[in-house]
Amino acid sequence: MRAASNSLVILQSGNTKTRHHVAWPEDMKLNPDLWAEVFLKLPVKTLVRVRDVCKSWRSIIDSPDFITEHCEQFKKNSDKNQLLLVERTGPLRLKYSGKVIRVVNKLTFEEIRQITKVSEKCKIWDVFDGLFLYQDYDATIYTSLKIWNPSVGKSWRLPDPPRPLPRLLGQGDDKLVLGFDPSSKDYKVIGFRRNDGVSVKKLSSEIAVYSGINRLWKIKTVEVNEPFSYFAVLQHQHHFCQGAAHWIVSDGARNDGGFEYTHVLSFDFGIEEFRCVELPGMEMFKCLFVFGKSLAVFGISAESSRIWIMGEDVGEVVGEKQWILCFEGGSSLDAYNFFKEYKFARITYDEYTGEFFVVVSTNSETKLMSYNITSQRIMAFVTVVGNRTCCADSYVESLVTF
Amino acid sequence: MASTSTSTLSRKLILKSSDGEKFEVDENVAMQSQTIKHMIEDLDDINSPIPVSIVTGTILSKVIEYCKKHATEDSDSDEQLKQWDKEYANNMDLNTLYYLLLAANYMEIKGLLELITQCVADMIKGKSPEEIRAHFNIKNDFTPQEEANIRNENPWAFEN
Repeated sequence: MRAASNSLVILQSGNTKTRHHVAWPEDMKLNPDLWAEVFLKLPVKTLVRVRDVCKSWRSIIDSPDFITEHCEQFKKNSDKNQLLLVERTGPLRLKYSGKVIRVVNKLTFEEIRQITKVSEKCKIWDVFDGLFLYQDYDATIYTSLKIWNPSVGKSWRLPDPPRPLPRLLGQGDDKLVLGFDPSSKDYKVIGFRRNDGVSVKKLSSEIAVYSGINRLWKIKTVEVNEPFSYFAVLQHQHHFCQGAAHWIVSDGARNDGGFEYTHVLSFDFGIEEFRCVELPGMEMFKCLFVFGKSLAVFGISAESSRIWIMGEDVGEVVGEKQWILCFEGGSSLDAYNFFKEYKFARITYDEYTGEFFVVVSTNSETKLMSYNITSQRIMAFVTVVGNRTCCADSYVESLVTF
Repeated sequence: MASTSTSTLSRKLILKSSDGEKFEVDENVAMQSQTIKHMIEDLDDINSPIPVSIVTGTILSKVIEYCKKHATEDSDSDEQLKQWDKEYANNMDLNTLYYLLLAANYMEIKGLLELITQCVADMIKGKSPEEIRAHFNIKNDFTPQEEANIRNENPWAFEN
């Protein structure tokens, strides 16, 4: 027989007396791990208030591990129908304009809440893990880069990036991307130019990297082993997963009057290097999307469609990544044309329904379309006229500070 | 409703609470606890009582009630099971909830831990820091100065 342990004695004292008492047992402390389990189930707005209860709760909520886990849980469990829209206000064709940022229901475009309305001209470079990387446009100059987390109501001004990126960013050739290195739990900003003045077909060999932990910019020389079309890099928004930003690019091959996508160009936020992997699915039109936590490729022709998932990293050498075929289905000319027509739109995939969603925006309207990979049915959900969306993505809120 | 032949073949285990109460349960009921599952693997004699050293009889009987309900997979729909979970958690006073949370954590019963942590999370929602402290018997250990700083830091969080 086992003797009663010390913890047993502590737990039992008072237990018999207060069993029917309605209050939380006095002096009964939960260990921080258990509180963390509870806190993971609370929204950011509540947690910002809960931080003020006591010092031990604050240290749980402020710990980088908790913040990362909370963000992961949000992405996993949140309502997938919440769509974040960044819309322009002001005259058409102005690159820098006022913005309205709001959360809407994906299927009806009904507003769930407005996050903010920015009357000054600004440019939003990237949205990631509930953070906005943006820049105000003041009269004729572009001011410092800032990162803003509306869920915790804070923004941070980044120091100006060093050369070769100009002090005043905002040129069409710049690309600024916000990302996260899971191994060091560091949010980083990378900045690069699409050309270094030598060849417009090459990415710059020097990039700027800002580390949120070190609060410093640094310049790094990176190698991109093959010339890639600047056209492809510019036009497509990246997809972020597994600690890297991924772009679909072309090596310059042309097909059917346009560039043919041949590779995935990835920037790994951990090792801070570009890598390039050849795409599967010759002869198909291809687009990237995120499937669960992995990068995936959807390939479609008029006859068939396929989905490949980028397998686990098998090495840092270019080309060693494996594509795993995980879906094979039919297609139609309509479906093929649908994907070709909206090739610059951001595609998301709903694992539960097997549907791709595409938010398509022109200067005068925004509409949501879907394509079901099994039934091959194309559906148009809603069209909003007079709405100028410049960014649409799944809504994420986080406690991330910079 | 009718018990199938498999359940009669199921092995019985005896769980012994910290205060010496013994409970005979089907193996598949007890196996929902990862802790007990690992204990059984190391056990030579399955007939001897398995000590659940930090859980009292009162709490252990509640834990077993939960495990029994969740061990019979096909009898209820997901919706019915959710409703049962809700009523089960709502009937607990705070004191029981606290010990149940410790028990679920110690016994590593994932579903129960989820249920109770969600229940505690729901209690926190919509309450001010003062109300939370009163509810959970927590001392405010911030100095008045620190508290003033906090409010300046996040003024929006105190808007309703």
